[in-house]
Amino acid sequence: MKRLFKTVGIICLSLSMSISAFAVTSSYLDEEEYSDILRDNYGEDQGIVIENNPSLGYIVYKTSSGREETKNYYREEITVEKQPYYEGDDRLGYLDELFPNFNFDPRDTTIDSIKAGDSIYIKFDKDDRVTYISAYNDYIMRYGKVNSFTFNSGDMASLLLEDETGRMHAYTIPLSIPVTKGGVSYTLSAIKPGDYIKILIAQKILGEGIVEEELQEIVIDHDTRYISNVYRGQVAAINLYKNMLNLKNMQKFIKSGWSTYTNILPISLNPKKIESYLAGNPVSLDYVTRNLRNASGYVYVAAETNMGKENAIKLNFQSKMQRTLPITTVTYVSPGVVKLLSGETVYVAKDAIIVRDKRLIEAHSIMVGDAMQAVVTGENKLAIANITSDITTGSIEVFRGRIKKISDREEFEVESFSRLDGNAWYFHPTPRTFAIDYQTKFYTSEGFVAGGIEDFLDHGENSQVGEVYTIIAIGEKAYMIVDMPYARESLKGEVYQADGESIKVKDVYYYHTSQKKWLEYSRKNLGASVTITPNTVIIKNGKVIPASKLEKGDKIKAMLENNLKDANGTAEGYIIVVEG
Amino acid sequence: MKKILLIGISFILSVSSLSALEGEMGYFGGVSTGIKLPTITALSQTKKSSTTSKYTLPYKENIYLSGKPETVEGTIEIRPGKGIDKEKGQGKYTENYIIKAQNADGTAKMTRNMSFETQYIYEAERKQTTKTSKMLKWTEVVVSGGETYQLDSKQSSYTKSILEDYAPGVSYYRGDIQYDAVYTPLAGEGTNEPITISVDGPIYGYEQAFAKTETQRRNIMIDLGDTQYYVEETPTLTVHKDIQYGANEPDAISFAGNYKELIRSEGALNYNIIVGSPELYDDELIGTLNVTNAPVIEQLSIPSLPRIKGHPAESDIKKMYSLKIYTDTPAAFSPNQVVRRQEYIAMLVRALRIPLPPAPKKTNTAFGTAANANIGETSPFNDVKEGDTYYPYVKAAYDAGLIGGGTLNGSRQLTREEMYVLNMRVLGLERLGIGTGNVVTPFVDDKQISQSAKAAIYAASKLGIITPSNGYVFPKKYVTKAEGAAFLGQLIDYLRYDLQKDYNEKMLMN
Repeated sequence: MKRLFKTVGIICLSLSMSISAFAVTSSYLDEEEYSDILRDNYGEDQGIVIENNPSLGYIVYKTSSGREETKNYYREEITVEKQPYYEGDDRLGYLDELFPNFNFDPRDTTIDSIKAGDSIYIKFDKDDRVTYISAYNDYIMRYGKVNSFTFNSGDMASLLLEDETGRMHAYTIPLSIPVTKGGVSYTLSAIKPGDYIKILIAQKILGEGIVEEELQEIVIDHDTRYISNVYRGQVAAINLYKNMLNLKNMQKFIKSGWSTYTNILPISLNPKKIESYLAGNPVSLDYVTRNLRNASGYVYVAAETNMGKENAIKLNFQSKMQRTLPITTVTYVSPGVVKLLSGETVYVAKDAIIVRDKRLIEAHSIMVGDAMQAVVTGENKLAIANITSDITTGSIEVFRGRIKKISDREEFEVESFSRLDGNAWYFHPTPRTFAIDYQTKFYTSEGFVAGGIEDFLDHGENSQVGEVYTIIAIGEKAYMIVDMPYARESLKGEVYQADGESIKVKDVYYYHTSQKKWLEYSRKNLGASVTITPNTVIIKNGKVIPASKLEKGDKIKAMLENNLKDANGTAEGYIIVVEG
Repeated sequence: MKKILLIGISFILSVSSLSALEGEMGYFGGVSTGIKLPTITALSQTKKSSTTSKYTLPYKENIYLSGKPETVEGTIEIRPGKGIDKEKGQGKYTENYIIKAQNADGTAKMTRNMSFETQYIYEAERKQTTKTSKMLKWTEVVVSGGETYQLDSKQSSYTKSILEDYAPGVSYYRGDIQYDAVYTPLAGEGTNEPITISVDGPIYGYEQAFAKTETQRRNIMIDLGDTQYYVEETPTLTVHKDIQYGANEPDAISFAGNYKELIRSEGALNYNIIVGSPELYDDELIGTLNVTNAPVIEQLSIPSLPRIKGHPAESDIKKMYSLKIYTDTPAAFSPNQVVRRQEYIAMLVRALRIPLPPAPKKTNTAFGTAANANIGETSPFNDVKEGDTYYPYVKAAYDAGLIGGGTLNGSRQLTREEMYVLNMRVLGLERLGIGTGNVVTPFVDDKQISQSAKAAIYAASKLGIITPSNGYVFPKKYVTKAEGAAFLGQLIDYLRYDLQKDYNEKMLMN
């Protein structure tokens, strides 16, 4: 039959094009075949596949009246079409059936792709043999939060998704499944516990109450929904007209502990979504409104930014007996218990606010080796945990080299280079090549150079050959090319004030290059001021960031041109790396 | 009983059909809060205040001429025009948008004035309207990066077309917008190279009694001559009616508490700069703006229902009375009484504010005044006469496409599967069940489901508005008043809170 369609298609194409562009090898129809086509002499049916056996050439399906039908087919002659989930085309194959060679059709497939649960439309000939199958799945979209995600042995991973109603859905997914975030393809490893995702599912109903779901595609929220802050204070009032929580004596949880006080912070809430706990027990928002306003203890508030505004999503009421532990490493994890390198044993319950990578996660996602900043109650119960990533520079590397040659808009080579490791430059007397492209950013002491790649040439009046640049590279690619002084002095300390133009640092140590050790800058802890210049590079969590993103509590290491002691505590910082 | 029924009828009678659905954010990438839905009190006024012809809403938009997002904030003034005339079936109207916005320090500003002429065809058979708009006037001045740009309206073009589809209880729409805006720098300032911004993308939305929403997808190409930028935007707005119960504090008060509806509105704009200024850091390529305003509060009256105190469906039943969906005399109310088909249809008509047919006119005859005589009107039903109590409701349901004509069997007891079929029809989402669901549903008692109800039940299960009991749906079980209140409450909650998620939360994630 397929051959038949093919032949008709070729004939029609040849006629319509009026040219003999193809070497046509016509296969003629016998009288019966011709008559069948002429009179639409075929049967048709619809149903759901119960079983398909291509080896033995039969298919079993259930019709809309609930009757089970078994039909045979010739594997080599059956035409099969199945709509891939990503195809938006509404063409269902009629034209394509008449003109099989018409053009590329993403629906064309083989009988092996017809699986139990598929909805099918079939045609069969007068011998009751199936000649054509058009199949499709019912797709549903599910939206929710990743409760846990783990890679299994082999090529599969396990995803546990919590939907909006709190129901859990478990999926085993192949590593090859398409994953996107912000329209860009990612691998499965981009999924983190606490992420909001939407998934496309092919739902197959195999019988009464028997549903099989096959995950087809995953879209990860493009960081539009994340934990933006954790606060503490007391509930002054809840305005249910505006759905606002007024938090008095508010302090923000920052790296160095708790921020300065704010009298009242109004923050949105959704009464249908917010979780509230009092000393470990869940309580309703009405209970909070009536009984926990102006309570003597603290309420810890997890605030999530969603649709461009901050909402309180979890309230944890505790007594004022609390300790903020310094960042330390998790050494042991078992259900409900976490042990820290500092020797503390911390008890974890459902009320704890645990944040990792700006996502609210469950206790079971805490892992040995995590760096955790915790707030614990008097009984060593975990109230808040911020699990910080020890990424620092991540895949970013800092080099300094003299330009040897440039291949326009492609790559450049340095004669030799130094690589920054910690606060020391290590010289390598070998050439090294870096790729450049339209995304490479060029900076000078004046700041960003628009269209810098067009002036980065090894010829002409402005030839860059022999010039020395600092190169911020990711792998072999130059992410930034910066004209800056050779910054060999260094300091380290903790940021206590940052305004985008300069940063004030306390607990400052400077590196004594001849003694080869870190020395305390001031016994009185006078601190130091690091000036941000237009060509300063700041690296945090494996990314280059603007100065405005530096926070109080950031522990930094800054590369300076001048020794801090000689510069009386104020120096220009050229490379600043946030280390904790 | 009759009195309550009349009150119910009177407020629904005055409900005007939904007309100007789309365009409450403008069509230029900004977001507003949208126009608030009318309160029940406003809908019930017999003497209408003059129709509002102008709305001014808070507004935010991003300007990308520098390759970086510059957020400007101000107002959008909308004159939506007179809308469509379904009687005539075709026509045109003019819609106007005036936007004035600037950023905090005044370095980025924008004023825009646009008028569209919108022509339409309403197809009564399909219950759909096709609208096509052309630009009548477009003036715009933008200040960005120290330069002032003026729109060259002769070089610019704009086209939009929208298809509205009227399900019995929800009006949906989808449209497409494409425009090229050409800006020239004002004389004497910088380069005279014109800038072209090309925008295309679909627009989706719906409007119903409890919520409305609109979401646009916008692909923006900015051509500065020697530099190009590309940005994707998703502006969305949602207006919905929230319901809250307020218990009274004093004891010495004649009622213990009551429900109130709060009409909330919010807009959000998600942007993703695919190609922007190279100066932007990775974290600055994406972002979201939000715009919101204060809610409108409306108290709902509540009857005394001492007989259902402590009943599991007490709050659902009270809600139905407060929303004037249940109109039985409270003293005679029995939660175990089975709902009749015609009763449930009337409940849906009242819940979804489906417009009732014009009230029957009284005519003077030789024998006095003949009340309830529907002049020239023939009932589409064999078993419901024009003067019957439920006639206005079943006729309204018939006109809206919720039920067909012929034999209604209105006094027959309602089964759960019949209820689900009506619920899905009122939402206009039966299509979601066509396919697998025609054959078999995921429920254990699938064999008990009538063939004609399978698709609706499957669609309802996909939407999550069926809560199976241990995997069973009991399709042939009669629906009692108490169950009816709970099921209707679930349907209304879906309309208030959940339907919108497909258009905002889920579409913002991309």
